[in-house]
Amino acid sequence: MAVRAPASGLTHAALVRDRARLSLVVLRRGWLIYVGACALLVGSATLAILIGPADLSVGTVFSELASKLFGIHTHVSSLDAGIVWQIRAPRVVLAAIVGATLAIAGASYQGVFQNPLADPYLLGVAAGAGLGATLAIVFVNDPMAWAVNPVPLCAFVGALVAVAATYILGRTGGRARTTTTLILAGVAIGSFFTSVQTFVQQKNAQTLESVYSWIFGGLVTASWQEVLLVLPYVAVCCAVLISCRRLLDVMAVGDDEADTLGVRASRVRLVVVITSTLATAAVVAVSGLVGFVGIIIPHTIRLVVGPSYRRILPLSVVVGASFLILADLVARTALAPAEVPLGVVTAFVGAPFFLLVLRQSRRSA
Amino acid sequence: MRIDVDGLSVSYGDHLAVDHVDLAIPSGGWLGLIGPNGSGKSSLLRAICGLVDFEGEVRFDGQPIATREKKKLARSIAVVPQRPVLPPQMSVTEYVLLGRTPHISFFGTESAHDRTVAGDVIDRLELAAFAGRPLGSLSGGEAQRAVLARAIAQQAPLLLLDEPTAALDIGHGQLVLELVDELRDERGLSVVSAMHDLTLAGQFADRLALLSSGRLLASGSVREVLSERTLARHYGTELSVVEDGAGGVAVLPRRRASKRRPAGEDTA
Repeated sequence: MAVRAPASGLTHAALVRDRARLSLVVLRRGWLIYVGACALLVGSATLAILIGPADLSVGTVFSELASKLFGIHTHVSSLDAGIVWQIRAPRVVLAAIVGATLAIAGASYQGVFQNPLADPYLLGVAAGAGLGATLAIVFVNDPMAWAVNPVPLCAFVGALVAVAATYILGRTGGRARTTTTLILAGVAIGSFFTSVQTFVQQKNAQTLESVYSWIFGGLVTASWQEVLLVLPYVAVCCAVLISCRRLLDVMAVGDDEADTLGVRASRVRLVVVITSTLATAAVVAVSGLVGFVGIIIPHTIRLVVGPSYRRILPLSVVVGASFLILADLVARTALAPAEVPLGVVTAFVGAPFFLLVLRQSRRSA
Repeated sequence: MRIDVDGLSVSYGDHLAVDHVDLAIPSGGWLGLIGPNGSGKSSLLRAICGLVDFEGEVRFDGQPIATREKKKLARSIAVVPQRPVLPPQMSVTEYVLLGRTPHISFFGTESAHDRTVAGDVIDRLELAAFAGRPLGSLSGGEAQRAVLARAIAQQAPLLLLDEPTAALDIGHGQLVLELVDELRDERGLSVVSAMHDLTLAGQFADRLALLSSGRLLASGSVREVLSERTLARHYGTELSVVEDGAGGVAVLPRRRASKRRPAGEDTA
């Protein structure tokens, strides 16, 4: 009957005190990890604004940022100012937005599907956006005649159509619809959209290069206009997803038990899937298909801070942003003046890094 | 809280799993559901907590429950499932805090009050020493207490237990049921449990209900339901019901005479 014996004669007061101390330690560690993540973000953003073909001094960069952000008057030449504020800064900000969104959307998908490999790409976002962008590149002869650039617009619509099709197809399983049927439907829709996209691309070989360069992702055309285009979607979606962080922890006990705790799992799943998909479609529209971020960032964070989405979701935003800023820095400097596609960099860096993290986790387990 | 079940039926396609069952559980009572495998015990529990659709009516203190209002339902009914999902890396404290979910808004998070309630339950169930440990590192008995703690943290007046001792050895099974009994006294809970172990069911429940093929075949006091004739008919085996020496009864299986011929005759 050892199980019921009080823990080694500790009094109730001592236990409460111990617990209070323990939670303080956890709190302090939690606080430190956020500070570390924010420092990483600031550091990588600064580095990315500093490095580029034009040699700018640290002083120039900070003076220009100070003048634009805080209205402080400085003596930076208009050429240098333009490089900092019109070329590098929007690219860094866009990279941060794309990275943050892909990471938090991946983490949220993994939470609602209870599947470590789930991310929006799995339900057809990538294939749908790819088909949309290919159709726009191939069939729109005069993009300037459009009020907005047709490529991101069609990519956005294509992504949403693909995920909606996946949901409808997954639903035809009837009442027995499970997350597995949804993921299988995603695989089927993804293959179908990709086959159509490949067919269109092969029939119009003259546009092959533009299609490929879009598909492998990149932020070459980054401007403040694109930042403003995606920011509203991303901000709202991130706020909704972070608000769902506690519900994602409840989902870890499975749909039935979540139900007996008063949470309708299917409703949470729908809210999270719509929100993450919308945000991902918006960023994919401006960045092309940047893979791996939604898988490696949440998993790395999970290995450091544990399985609770209360910490995984906010940290995914910050670490995902930092990761993509650095990946984009590599993309534009590795073979300068040529650009390596961003999706190639994330996969090239991400895959081995992921294996390393997995190895480390198995050793510590 | 008094619970009345009137003409409750559950069907899965053409299969009728629960067939017009009527039950009444007085406030603070413990009803044990017994019956052979596939008799409909779990389906009946799943219907009461709104996990499966059913015909008929379930009333709490005379009010019919709306099983669509999940959050309200979860504030009235706490469930200890037969095979709970225990995320291996989640800490005991985080897991017990999940029990506060029905008291928290959709996008909200725990208040200081929720943490106090969870802390008190952890202390009461003597889990404080494991509070920071991951669920994956607990023994079977400790894990079952954590699941019970989560259910108690819900502060619901009705507790449903589906085979609460199935994964435990005889000692830990007894401990868990004693704990449920103490909590029932302290907090005035009503309890409905589905149990395979007839002796334990008889020792802890006030009343028993025997189900077979979805139908309610007998219900009443422990001695009324645990009779050798009734059990033999519905379990299809020989059983002895004996006095346990402490005012209760124990149900013992009786091995039937072997149908094989005695050894030696085969070799002729």
